[in-house]
Amino acid sequence: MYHKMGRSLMDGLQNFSNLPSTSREMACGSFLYQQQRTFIQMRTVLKVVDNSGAKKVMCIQPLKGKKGARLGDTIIASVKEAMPNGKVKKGKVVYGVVVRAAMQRGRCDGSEVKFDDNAVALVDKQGQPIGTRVFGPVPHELRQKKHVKILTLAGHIA
Amino acid sequence: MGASRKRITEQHRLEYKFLTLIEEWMYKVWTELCRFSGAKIYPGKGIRFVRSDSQVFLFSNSKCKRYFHNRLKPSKLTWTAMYRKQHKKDIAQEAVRKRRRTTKKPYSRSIVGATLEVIQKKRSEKPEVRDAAREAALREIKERIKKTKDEKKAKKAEVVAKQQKTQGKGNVPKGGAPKGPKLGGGGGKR
Repeated sequence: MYHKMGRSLMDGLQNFSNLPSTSREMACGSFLYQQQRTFIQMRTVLKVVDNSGAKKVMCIQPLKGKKGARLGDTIIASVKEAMPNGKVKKGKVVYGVVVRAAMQRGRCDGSEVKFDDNAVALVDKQGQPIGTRVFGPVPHELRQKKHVKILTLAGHIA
Repeated sequence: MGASRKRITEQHRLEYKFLTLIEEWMYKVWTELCRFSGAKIYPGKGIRFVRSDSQVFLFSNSKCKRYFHNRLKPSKLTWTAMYRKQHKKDIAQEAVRKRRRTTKKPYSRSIVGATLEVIQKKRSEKPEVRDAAREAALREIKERIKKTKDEKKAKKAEVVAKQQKTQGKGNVPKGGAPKGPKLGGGGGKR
């Protein structure tokens, strides 16, 4: 997981990562450098971490963000993979809150947080979670974004 | 025009950050330790990596983070705290200091209810003396019990004698008679 080469980018889009430019130079040479993590944009496949029925979801549109969605933002997504009996079926267009993003996000105290993968919790238009449980760690940032319900459902708050 | 706009947005961002610092009270005022190198992470520095299994890793800089992600072992890198601990550098001094602190002496103090002299006297009492004292106490109690029992018996005998005398006379004294032994019993208990 940590040994992927190159950058995970779409064709045509520039690299808008927050890492300094020197690391980019090093990336070109070495083999063992990690991915350059960027925003969650159209066609990004995210994992679903609640029990709403969906398993994998593809981002169609990040709400609020020219370059893409980050940790704590909402996205519109299309369900690509779903459990046979669940509240959500394959092909449905849903809203989701990004609960884990591989791209680091700055915290109020100046430090940065980053997760292992991109994950989303499905939500309805009003912002209420569709599922009843959330798996895995969930960041503090959701409180600021007023997604308190997801925080209460979460097992572990990072 | 574009440059000035950028500057404004940065300022806005800083201001907002400042406001959130105050409002949210989330500002760290302690230093944490880097998971990889063992260095201190002061507030505002460092990267926090949350793995899918909810394990949180704190790195003091991107060097530590990079090494961690490249699966290098801190115990093999000379500059990390783990390596130093494993190869026992600078630990001899700490061990000596620790041993000195842990010797405890039995210290006697006076407590409420027993002054120092009383405690010392009790501690220095010989076992024979203590046994003798215990025996004396037991004997006292036994004598006391015996005395009360004798009293009770005597009172009962009196009452019975009275009853026998007054049975011939009438029912009125009978009202008084049952009261007698009860009173005697109460007195004996006390």
